[in-house]
Amino acid sequence: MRPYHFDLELAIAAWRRSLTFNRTFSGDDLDELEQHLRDQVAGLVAIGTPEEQAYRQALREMGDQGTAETEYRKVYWGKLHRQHRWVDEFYWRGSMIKNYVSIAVRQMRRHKVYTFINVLGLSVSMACCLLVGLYIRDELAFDRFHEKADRLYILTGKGTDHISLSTPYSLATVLGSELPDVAHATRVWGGRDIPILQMDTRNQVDRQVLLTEPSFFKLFTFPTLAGDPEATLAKPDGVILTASSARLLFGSEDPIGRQVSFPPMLNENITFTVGAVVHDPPAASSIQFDVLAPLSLMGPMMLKENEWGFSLLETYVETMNPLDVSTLTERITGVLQPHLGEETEFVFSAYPMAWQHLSGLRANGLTGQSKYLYLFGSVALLVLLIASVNYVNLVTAQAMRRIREVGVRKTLGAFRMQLATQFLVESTLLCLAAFALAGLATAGALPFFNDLVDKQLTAGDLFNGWSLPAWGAALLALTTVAGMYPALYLARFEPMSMLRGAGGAASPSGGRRLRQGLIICQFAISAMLLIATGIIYQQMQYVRQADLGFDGEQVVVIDLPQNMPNASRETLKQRVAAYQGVLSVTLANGTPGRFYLGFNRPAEESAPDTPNTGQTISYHPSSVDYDYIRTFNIPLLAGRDFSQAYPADALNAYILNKTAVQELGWSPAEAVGKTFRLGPPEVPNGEIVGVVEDFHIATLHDPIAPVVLQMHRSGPVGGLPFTLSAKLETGNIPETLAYIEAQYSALAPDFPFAFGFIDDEFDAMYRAEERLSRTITVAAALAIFLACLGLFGLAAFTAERRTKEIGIRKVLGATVSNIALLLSREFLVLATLAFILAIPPAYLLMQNWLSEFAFRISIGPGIFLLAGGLLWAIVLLTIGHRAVRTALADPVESLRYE
Amino acid sequence: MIPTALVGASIKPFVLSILAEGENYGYAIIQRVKELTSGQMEWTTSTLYPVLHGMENSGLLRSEWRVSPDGPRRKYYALTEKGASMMELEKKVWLDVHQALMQLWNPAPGLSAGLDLA
Repeated sequence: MRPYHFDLELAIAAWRRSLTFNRTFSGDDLDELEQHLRDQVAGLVAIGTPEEQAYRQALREMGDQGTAETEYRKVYWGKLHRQHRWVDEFYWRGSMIKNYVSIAVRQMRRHKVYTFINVLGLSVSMACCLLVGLYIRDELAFDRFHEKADRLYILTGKGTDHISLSTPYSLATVLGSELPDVAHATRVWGGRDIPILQMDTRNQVDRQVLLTEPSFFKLFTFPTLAGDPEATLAKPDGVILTASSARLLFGSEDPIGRQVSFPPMLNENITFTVGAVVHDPPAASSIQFDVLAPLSLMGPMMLKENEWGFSLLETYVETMNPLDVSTLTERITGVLQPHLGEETEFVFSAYPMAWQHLSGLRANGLTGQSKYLYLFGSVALLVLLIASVNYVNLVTAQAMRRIREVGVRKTLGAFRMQLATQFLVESTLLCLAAFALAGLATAGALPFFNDLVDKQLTAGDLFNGWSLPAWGAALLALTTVAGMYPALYLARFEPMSMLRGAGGAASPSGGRRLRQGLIICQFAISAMLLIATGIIYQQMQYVRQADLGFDGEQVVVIDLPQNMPNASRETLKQRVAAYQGVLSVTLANGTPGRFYLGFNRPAEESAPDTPNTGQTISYHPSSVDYDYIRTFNIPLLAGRDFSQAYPADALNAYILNKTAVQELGWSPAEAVGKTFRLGPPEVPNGEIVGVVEDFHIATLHDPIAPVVLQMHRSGPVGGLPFTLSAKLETGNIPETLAYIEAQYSALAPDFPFAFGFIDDEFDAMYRAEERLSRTITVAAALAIFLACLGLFGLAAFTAERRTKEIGIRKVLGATVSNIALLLSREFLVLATLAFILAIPPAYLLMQNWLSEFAFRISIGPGIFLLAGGLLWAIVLLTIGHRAVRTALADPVESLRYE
Repeated sequence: MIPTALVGASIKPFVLSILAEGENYGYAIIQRVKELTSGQMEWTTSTLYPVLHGMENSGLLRSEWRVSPDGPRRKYYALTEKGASMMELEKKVWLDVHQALMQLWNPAPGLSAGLDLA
């Protein structure tokens, strides 16, 4: 062994090498520092200090390396910039990222189960968000395509209890000429399917016809393909076709100047000339049409000035400048004041064009109502939250495993930021993989989703406009949120305690608390959705089985054309009634589900003897015949049915329902024989001849309305769409229907045969609820699935970590059930706690939903017990298998490991 | 001892003023400051060099490797024009502060008496 000898050159070289590894010091910096050190040593040696001591003192005086590094780092970027070395720097950083990525991939491969759970959970929830995002965007985009969208307003009138889009003819006239803010106003009517006949080929198709004025094209942006649309609408016999209507009627021929007619509505001899062709309205337009025809078609009776109570048309205005709706409404009210005078019941308001779609006034299934935007949005976010919780839980749980890795890295000089970056890269990769999968899942689930929410979304919409950057930003946000906590959490540990033992001081009990909190949160969300599913299901079941007060089974309702003569209707009725498969037939203009008319009348005006004077009653009248009550099998409570034995019945006899007589202050028995009258003052007084049991004329959303039945006659309820309702015998329904259709076609050849069964029609009125029910069921299933996925991962992890403990317990005599219970207890307690937390919000939310029904179930404890039991069973199933497997393991195996 | 905050605040004016005497290198600057403050202020390398580099980044100084008369290669720092004007600015600021403090410590007799009377 050589004797120890201090060599200054060797010492300095070693010191310099220790700094070379750190990129913070450039070669130039090191040269400078080295010379400084040498000067300092030389200075100390000069005053007599021995060389070795001088070297150590000089090093001490230069300060510690950590501080130097921090200080040098502050000016690092400036130096790079000054020396044009930043390309190198990016190269360095790039190779670091490559390193991060390869470590991340290695981690994902090594822990396949966790990777699978995370990717699956995140991708499913991202797909939910993508779908809901598409839905929300589609809903919000309605009516924004018009070039003047910011200056377009729709006007509303006030109905008996709600606002309505129907406005009187005069509104546009007055506003257009008297309100200076209004540049143009236009009126629109219709939008119903009407058969249109191509005169040359006699080709007839049903098309959606909208009647409007030339100014329509001043306001709205429906690009022209050929002809002059404004000039066409100015003519009394001009029509405009959309591109698809033109193709249907004329194929590839030029439609301009060709003739069409509307035979069922007008005489076939009245023909129209195609004057223009426009693009089909976009799907995101509230105004939909296939054919545009002049408003004057409605006839002067319908288009009367100064008839403020007669509302039929939709009115739109374009203002000079974008205006606040309250200002505009105020100005409109001001201008209308002199015209309305005393008639203060007419209230008109302006709303932005884009408001109408989500106003709920055009609601259709799950579209057109803002509440569904909020509902879907929050459900998607909750599902995403559950998946993110899985991610955080699994990563922090796994942290125990990675503590050694982090410790070693820290000891080797990794910065906290570098470690955090490592974990962020891991989560980014995971999220990217999940996102790619989510894109595929979204495309795959679109047909199902479209069916659920009644939309025609396509996978292409995902790449439309701002959506791609938006998805990118969302992904970034998710990555950061999901990755940030574990990244900072793992990077925080002190290397010493980490290396000393993974289970020791570093064991993150705070992490466990958090994990438990997050599990509770997940299961609370799942439980809420589960309870909601149950309650919605119960209510829908109730709605379907509710006694509607009439017998709608096998009752078919057929719409009769408006211009069908009364005699033909009677003939049709007799022919149908004569068929052996038909039990009973009635002609009426108000059948359950189709009571179109409402009359608000002071009680004493309709019934002079009523004790309830001063009360307004909202009557729902229908004109019927002798077979109405029999066909619908509505029970009579007092009095009698209409009968040919009483000639006066045909003129002025009335049958009321129980609610109507109650509102008049009578019992059914008292009401019979009382004077009654419904209609204008010239209608003579009549008499109540019978009282029927209440029956539902609309969905169970609405309370029972006061109904008035009277015999057909020309009166206030005449002129409404007529229907023929027939109660059929059970067997041979298709044959019976074919017979009815044949009879109908013989009598009304120009009008398509349209029929529906009352049962089906009532079911159809709950379409939104049915769809909501399905949506919530899917959401609940997804939420529970994701929560269980996370739970499964955690259970597996716990079982693995406690393998040794369990081995010892078994050796000491614990039974399999002891151990299984030990492993399951924590999760069951958490699930129970979550469930208890979920009850109050679920109860309030569902109470709120149920309040939309006038007839509803009361929320009992049963549904909560059921949901709780189900949740428990699902949790047990998820973790039970794992717990039992661990408990059954041979203790020798578990104790031998390590 | 001089408080750390003041050490930090005075590095820049010291460096500017020392280099205003003529170009110099890091070790000599530290020695000069130590000498001027009778050893009360002693900078470490991690205090001085990053400041020098930072000032160079912002264009107050320029540096050059030069072989000094006594042998080894050293990095010499010198003021740029911008550095010289910054030096003037710093000087004014420090003198202002100095004068303000001096007024408090050696008040003009009349002023103080007047205040007392009031």
